[in-house]
Amino acid sequence: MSDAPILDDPDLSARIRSRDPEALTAVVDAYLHQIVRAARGAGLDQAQAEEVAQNTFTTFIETAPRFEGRSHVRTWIFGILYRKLQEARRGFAKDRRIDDIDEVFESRFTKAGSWSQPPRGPDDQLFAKEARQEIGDCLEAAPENQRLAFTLREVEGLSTNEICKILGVSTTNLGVMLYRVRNRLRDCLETQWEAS
Amino acid sequence: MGGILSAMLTCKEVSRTIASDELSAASWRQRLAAKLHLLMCRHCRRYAHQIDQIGEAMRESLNDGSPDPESRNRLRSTILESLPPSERSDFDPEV
Repeated sequence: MSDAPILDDPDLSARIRSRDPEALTAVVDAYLHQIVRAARGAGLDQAQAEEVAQNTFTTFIETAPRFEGRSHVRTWIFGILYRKLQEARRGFAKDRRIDDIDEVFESRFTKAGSWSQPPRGPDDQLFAKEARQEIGDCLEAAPENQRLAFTLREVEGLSTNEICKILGVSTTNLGVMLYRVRNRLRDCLETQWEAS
Repeated sequence: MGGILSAMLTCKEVSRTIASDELSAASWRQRLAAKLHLLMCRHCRRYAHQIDQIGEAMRESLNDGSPDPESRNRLRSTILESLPPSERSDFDPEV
């Protein structure tokens, strides 16, 4: 990605707006891999992820004249991806006001806020190994929008600010989504460990 | 001292702050309080470590297996076909 000087061109947004093929191609090359990966992170299989990525970039190329350059081109493209995912999958509604994982989390603490059921599981090193093996199954139970938020944070390494812009949510909303998906995954791993 | 005591966090607050990524946006006082709490509380330390490992597992699972370069190239070409040919030929980098 760093070997694509076009992306550092100060006139990049103007070049995108004028649908300069060289600039558009550079953007596709820079973000295609990330977009496919993020779509997989949100729960799509490889073929579905590639299809959504194709729609995302086709829309990007079509709507390039509307790119104002107020946000990073990556934010813009991930925003298109999010809308495509919403169109393709019903699970992509905004986060629910109430999520059963909230209650599970609450139930692990005393009224005073100390652990009544402390986190269980194998020791730290074994947990890491188990998490790698079992995360796929545990992800199945997580809502897709939370999975996307989690992927944007953990895999794509985007900032809170950027993820909020992409998903159109407040910082607080994003915090809730991340808290929910992480607790759901942690809880699932704990349950699997205890069952084994 | 009153200030420090009032900044003491419960396990629930610390865990919630960690899972929702709010620590980086917190005040230095809250960050310090959370760090002190983690030093003293093995349950919260374990929770924090598990949350950390879950992120690591997510990274690994999505980066697993190199994508088939052929299908990636096919996808790229299909996308680039949507660049209108007229604009492609009109394009002159010297202008």
